[in-house]
Amino acid sequence: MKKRLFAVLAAVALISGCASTTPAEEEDEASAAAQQAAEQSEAFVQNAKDRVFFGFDKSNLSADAVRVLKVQAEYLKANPTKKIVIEGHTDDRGTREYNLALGERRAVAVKNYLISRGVDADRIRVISYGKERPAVVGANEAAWSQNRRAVTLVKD
Amino acid sequence: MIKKIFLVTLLFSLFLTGFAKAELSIDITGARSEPMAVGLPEFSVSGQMAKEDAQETAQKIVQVIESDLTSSGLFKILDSLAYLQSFKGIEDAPAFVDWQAISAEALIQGHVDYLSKKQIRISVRLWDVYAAQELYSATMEVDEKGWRRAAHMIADAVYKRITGEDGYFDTRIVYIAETGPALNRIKRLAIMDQDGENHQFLTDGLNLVLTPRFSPNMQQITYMSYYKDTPRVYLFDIESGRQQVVGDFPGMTFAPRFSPDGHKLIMSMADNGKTDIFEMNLDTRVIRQLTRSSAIDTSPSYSPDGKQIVFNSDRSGAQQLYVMDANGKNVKRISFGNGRYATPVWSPRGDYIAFTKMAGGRFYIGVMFPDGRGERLIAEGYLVEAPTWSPNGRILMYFRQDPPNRDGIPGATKIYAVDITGYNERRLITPVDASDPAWSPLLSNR
Amino acid sequence: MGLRLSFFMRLRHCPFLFKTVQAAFDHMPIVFSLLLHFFAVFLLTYDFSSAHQPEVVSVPMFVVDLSQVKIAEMTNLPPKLIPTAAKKETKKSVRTSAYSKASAKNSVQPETRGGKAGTSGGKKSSSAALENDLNKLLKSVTAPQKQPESAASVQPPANSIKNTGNQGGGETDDPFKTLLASVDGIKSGMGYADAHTAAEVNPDEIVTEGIEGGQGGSYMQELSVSEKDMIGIKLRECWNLDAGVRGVHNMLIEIRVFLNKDGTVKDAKILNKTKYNKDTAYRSVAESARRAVYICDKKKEDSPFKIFPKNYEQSYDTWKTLLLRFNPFDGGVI
Repeated sequence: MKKRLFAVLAAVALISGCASTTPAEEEDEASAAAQQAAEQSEAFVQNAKDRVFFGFDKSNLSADAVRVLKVQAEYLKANPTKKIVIEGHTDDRGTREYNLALGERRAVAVKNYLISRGVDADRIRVISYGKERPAVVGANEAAWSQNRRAVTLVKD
Repeated sequence: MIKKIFLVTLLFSLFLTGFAKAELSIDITGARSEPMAVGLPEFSVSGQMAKEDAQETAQKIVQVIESDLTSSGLFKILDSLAYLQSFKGIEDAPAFVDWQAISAEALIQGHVDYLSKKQIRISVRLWDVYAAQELYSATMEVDEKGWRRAAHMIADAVYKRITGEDGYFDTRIVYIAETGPALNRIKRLAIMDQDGENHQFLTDGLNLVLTPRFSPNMQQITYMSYYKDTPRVYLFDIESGRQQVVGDFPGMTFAPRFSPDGHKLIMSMADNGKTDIFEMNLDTRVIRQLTRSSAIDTSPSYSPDGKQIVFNSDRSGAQQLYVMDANGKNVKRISFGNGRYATPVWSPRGDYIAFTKMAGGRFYIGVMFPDGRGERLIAEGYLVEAPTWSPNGRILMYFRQDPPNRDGIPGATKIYAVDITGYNERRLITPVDASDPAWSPLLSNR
Repeated sequence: MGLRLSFFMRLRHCPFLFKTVQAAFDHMPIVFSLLLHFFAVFLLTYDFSSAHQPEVVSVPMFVVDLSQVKIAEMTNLPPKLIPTAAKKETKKSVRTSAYSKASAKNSVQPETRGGKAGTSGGKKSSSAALENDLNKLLKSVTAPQKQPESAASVQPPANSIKNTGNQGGGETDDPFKTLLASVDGIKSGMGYADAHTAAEVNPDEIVTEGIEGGQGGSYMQELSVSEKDMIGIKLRECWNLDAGVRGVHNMLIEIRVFLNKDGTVKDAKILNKTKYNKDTAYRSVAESARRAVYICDKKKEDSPFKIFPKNYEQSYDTWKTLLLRFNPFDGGVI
């Protein structure tokens, strides 16, 4: 219950363009929260289109990731005033310092793809949180795979 | 005749040489390794203070010495009930036979003299019970309020005389205090004495802070902060509490460490998917790039002579340890074992490099010689990370996080210390969860 | 080996020597005695570099005596093993010594040097004193193999020595394992190799011990290797070492012990004072070794030194001083 409330709050924060680095919510809950989201952000959050996932110790984009990023790129081209922040995250199966670098690499991978799809580089900022801001808690592959992610946040 | 004399002389000489070599020699290989048994009787007291109060101070001092020495794992203080001798003054000669009888190997004799109500003079003598020799004696005058540090210094002196290496009891630990939910941890800088006393928080928790490290002169801490959502390396002045960002870098700076002389800072910068190692001269503010690769080069650490740097890099495909000259030349890979190697830290005494190793889904803390030989793993867990050396290079401190339970409650994060031999692992008690410990230099040495 | 045997032989002549020297002193003026001393010192000084030359000279004289040596009496060798391994061995070595001008350098070195070479050379393997001795033996035994005529007969003992060498190596891993814990290995207690190293003696070991006893050679009744080992093991139990000291991997502490006639310790002196005064870590380990001597001494009847008055009361001169060499790892870590 607490988690759900949290997810809702996160979505609200997203809409209002708040600069705070809200932790991301779980996928299924994300779609519930998205119903309350404003029109512009809806395309992102709905169907969890705000994030892409990576393999262990990897920063290359999977086919799934590319599909998600295409949607993001379309959205950004349709809304040329919007700016975004891409957060890079990792699971906790690495050391803190290396994971900061790995998170940066993931965020940059997303950034470079969006640029290649025609999004202006000036509109994109990247930040890495390494393993500091997990999306879910757990000591299993299911949890880790959800934490190895890059999340795109829309700012006005 | 001369021939005969010669022959006799020759034979005699041969006999002598034979005799000289014939001294029976015996080789002893290996030993037992147990804490050294130490007698630490109550300190005698005298001077300008009611006897009970003076005795109370003396007892507190003895307790700190006892807890310091015991915590090192190298000493065990014998039960005072077994003592056959009590001392009336510092000039009282030890009855060595009495101490041998309870198998004490060393004996600490002490006296507290109240010169005034506020000023105390502490005298100590350290004895080798079996060789019946005085090993060390000292006298120090301190303000009564400084009794705790004085006790740490006495413990350091005893430690140094017995082990031959500097102690580490008069030191502090800076670390990250963790509170709050697992998905949004609140992290604060905190500092405490090596034994957990005098704990205090240095930052308020509004900004995420990570990986603090002491400067060699103890006046500053370098760390990483997400102040204004811009992750950068900062300096924290301990006395004034002032914080300042280090340099003007285009990308995220992290993994900072001081050079052994304290004049330089070494760190990583991540920009556009590449992470390289940079050095900044703190006096001139000149920045120099030391590595140039498309890989992740991070966690740099200087050798104690400042001439080399060990770091970890994934340039070979996975994280391994590399050593290079301080100018970035002569990069050599030193780790070749199974698994990934990270967070190398060069021992202050130069003989080992400590590291975090990940293999088979487990984390390890280990040590190897600087050329990569002799790898030995001394701690293991779901997550153990970030070794830091005691200033004498004898103890490794690191943090350990238990796996989260099924309800999504994260495991507790605690700081542990373990002897370089792999024995005597013990937990450091902190008020809240703790990670990223960093050991200060010896305070009395700076 | 030839060299050692020649010592042995020479010492067999002790009574004769004594008499001769005695007579010389009775009749010669004091100047002559000075000359004698001077020459003795001279030879002692040059012993290391030119030791084998006088020995080569005296080899023929020793060959005669060798056949009379009964190794069994000196070495705890079971009787049946004498003819097969040990005796052949001694004969071979005599031959070697005859060639010693050519082969002495690589076959055998004076005992003191052998010890040092053993410890420094042992760095590669995790060996112990026992294994070192065995290596020395191995070298000295295999050396004759290079000479065609003796190769075949030397083979069996060489093999047996190799076997014990391996066992010795396995056993002496123990101090390493337990002094430095490793989480991927067995994180065992503070134990150390037990006394069974000396108690369990398999036939192969006996062979080597026999050779060592015969070789190490003592002019009077000296300790057998198992007795030596027992003393070493007892001292090891008394030695409480801090295994984490800087540089401990390469340390060798030498202590000279002065014993009373009843086997109690009169004094124990740390040798190598320069290093003791300069290197605090060395001092720490040296002091722990000296403490071991005293702690063992305090064990009264269990003291390792009690074996001397018990079994060798007559030859106090041979054991009134002992050289103890403490070596925590024997280079085993590197």
